[in-house]
Amino acid sequence: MTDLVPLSNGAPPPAGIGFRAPHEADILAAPPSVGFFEVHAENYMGGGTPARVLARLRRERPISLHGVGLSLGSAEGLDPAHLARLARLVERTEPFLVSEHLSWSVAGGVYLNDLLPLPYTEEALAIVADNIEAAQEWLRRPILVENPSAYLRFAASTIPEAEFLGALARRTGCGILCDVNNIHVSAANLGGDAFAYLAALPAEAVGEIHLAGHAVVDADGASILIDDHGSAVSAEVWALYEVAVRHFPHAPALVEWDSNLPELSVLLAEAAQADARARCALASQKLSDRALSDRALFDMATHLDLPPSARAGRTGGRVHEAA
Amino acid sequence: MKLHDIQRTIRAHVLGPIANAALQDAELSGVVMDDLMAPARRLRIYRNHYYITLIDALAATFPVTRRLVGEMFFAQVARRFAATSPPAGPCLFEYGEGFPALLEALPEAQALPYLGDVARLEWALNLSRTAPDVPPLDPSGLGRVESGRQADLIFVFHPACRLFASRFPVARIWATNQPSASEATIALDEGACRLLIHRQDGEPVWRTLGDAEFAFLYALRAGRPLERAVAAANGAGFDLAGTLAGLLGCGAIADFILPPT
Repeated sequence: MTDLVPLSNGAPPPAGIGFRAPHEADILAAPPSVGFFEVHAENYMGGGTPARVLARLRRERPISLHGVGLSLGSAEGLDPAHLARLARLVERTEPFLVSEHLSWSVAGGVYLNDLLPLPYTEEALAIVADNIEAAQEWLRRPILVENPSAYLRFAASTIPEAEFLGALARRTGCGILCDVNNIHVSAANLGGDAFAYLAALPAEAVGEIHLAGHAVVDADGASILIDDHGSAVSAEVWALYEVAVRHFPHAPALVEWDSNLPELSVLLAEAAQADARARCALASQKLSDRALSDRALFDMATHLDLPPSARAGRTGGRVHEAA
Repeated sequence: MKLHDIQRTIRAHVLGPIANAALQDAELSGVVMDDLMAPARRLRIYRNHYYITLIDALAATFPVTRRLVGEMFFAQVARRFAATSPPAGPCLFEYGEGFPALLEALPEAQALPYLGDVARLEWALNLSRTAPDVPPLDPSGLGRVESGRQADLIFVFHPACRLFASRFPVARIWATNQPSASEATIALDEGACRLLIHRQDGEPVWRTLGDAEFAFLYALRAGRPLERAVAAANGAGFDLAGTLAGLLGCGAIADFILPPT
């Protein structure tokens, strides 16, 4: 799209914020200088005030449409009526990104209002790929597919999630929305190495990074992380983000905040922090790249073997449960 | 196990009645991994999310109803509704059509005979608020209809336009229960309420209708030709020209049809 967030001098694209209705007056009165606004597609499928507000936002900044209800993982396929509404919204809004989730919500025609996890099997891979292809044909554009936060794993799973996403990108041409908070939440809840997950994603397919806060909840003595988008980004997630920025330097970041929504200024400060951390991460990467090449020259000059390169240099919100 | 069957199983555990946890663990054994935390405990996170978010969605659509019955009771009824009437689609502003009927049938709510009608008014306002954007009829088009054919005109109402009727003073009850309203005493027998709801600057508003006007609009909205709708009004003093001008003025009409003779 012509109004895609511009890249200049290798600087990271500016971060966006999730637009939420309580911030409407503040944002429309003085549009903040964020890279873009992201909205939940389903909230704008009717007419009236939301449609007007979205049209206003669209005039101020690029829009990213983030769907939560397409149910790309449903064995029964996609709901054509919902897909048609999404297509009309995309046509009307001309977003620079359209994204959905690697999850399912619909079974037997019932919408379970959650991003439910999938078993990562060859059968599921084929079904999700078919559904993504159907969506991309309807929308006549590629979509980004987001890694979910999960609270359970299926015994049937045989494919690691990052590989599953990579296979979807290869088969369908879709992009990947890398939610670093979700990676952290799932790794903490199910076991797994969040940094290895990042390294396993195909870097060229990642088109956006999501940032959000999570809650730590005590569940009968065990600690569980709930992806509630209800607080500031945690230190662990920022650390993961700084590595993600080096892996995916062209992917714009987005700060999501849904429950316990703060003043707009707090959200803007989080977005500014994302920008500052991305600049630092990319600048320090350039230094370490140069250090590596200096080292390589030295090694060649002294006829020593090259050292294994340190590859690191190159390369929605859930509610708290009732107790 | 095929994906289809896994999804049916998970759906049953998210929606269905709370089973004994040990039984639930046994049913999920071999489907959901049981390391670190039992499967039933893990499913409870999804189950709670389903119910809490749908209770919140209903609270957003029925704020006055919630205020009338109290937060706790509302949450109980909303939970029951979510269990028996799960959403058919992901647009939650469309969720809750059957909620007024469920409320009305509750034995606990019989002391509030107007409750179902208050919820029905909130649903009508919700439909108006979120209806698709359609341009209103340009009245100049009507001027080109031959005077001899005007009696046959059929009007297509704007999707944001709704008619509402109750034998209770529901509009006053609604207004008195807005967050900014001051206390008022309303007598339940102070009169029926008939409203034309339409959208103004993107938000629903209403106008109170007299009996004849309501009968006319009810017939007109049901697709009766103008002449038969006027007959339905059946009242001395019914102001056809004034009523039509009001309808067109507030954008309540989207189009008209002139059936071939």
